[in-house]
Amino acid sequence: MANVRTHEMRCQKIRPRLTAYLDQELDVDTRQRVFEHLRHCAVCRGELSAYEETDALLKALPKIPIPRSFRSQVSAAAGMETPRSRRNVVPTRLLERLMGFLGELLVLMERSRPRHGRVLEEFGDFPPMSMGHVYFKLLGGLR
Amino acid sequence: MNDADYVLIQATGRGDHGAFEELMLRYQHRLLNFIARRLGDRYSAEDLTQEVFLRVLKTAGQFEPRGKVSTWLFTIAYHLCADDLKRRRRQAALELDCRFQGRSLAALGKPDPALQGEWVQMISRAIQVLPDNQRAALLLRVQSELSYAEISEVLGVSVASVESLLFRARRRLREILDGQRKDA
Repeated sequence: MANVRTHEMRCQKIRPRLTAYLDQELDVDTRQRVFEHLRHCAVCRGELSAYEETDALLKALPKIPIPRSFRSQVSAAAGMETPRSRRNVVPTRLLERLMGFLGELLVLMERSRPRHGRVLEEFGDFPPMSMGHVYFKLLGGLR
Repeated sequence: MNDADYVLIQATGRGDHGAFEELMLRYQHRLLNFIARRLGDRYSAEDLTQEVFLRVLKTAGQFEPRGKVSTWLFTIAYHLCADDLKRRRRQAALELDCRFQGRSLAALGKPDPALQGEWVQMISRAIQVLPDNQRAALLLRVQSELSYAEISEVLGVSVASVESLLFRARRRLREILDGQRKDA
């Protein structure tokens, strides 16, 4: 009888610590005491597994998706440049780089243009406005 | 402390919009879900999550690197939710008065498609029955995975109080769910 009462008293002390035990927030000594108690107490083990089950249900709740426009809405509300308008900047920059590259390529081609004026007629039958046509025109191969 | 978060908050304080957007990308889902589950209303949660980030933008320059950025963000969200819940309670009381005066009772919130499904509804309802500080502590722990120390910072209470809140929240939630199962 005395043993039962002692056991119940221990349960009363242990139970409020069960959730901290579950969360691994107890110091080493207390954790060991709870662990030892759980080994011998089916009632407290049952309570612990009930908390675990509740946590699992909470974690399994579907995540609420955030609207795709969320960040642009915040930016707009803050009076900032929106992500959409910033996205437009990227192709413009790319285009600028591409144009620069083509410009340098044309300069290089101009430099390598044959000075002797020999006509490469065997390669000169490219369709009008094709890259080959433009290239050979620049080289002076097409008149 | 998460150094990357701290760098982002510092840059945001200097007016770096890219850093601010990165910060939003990192935390928007966690904050939205915390606020939505706390209020039980995802539509208002979107507005409040937006408000959290606007406050961050305004006050990023004053952030003191004593605690974690995540804890700071959840603290802002926690207080905004508390204000919103107070406003809702006042509004509900007012609408109750209106009903007694024979006027129509406006819907308190739109139905939430993300909270459909029987068991989801059951848990969502059970969470809403918990007292606000217990609900906040439980969501911060189980969904947002904050430590007791971090939760104590967010709620402005001791670590021992956090342990007590979480114990009572879980026990109460268990009782509610068991009661709902028996009814079903």
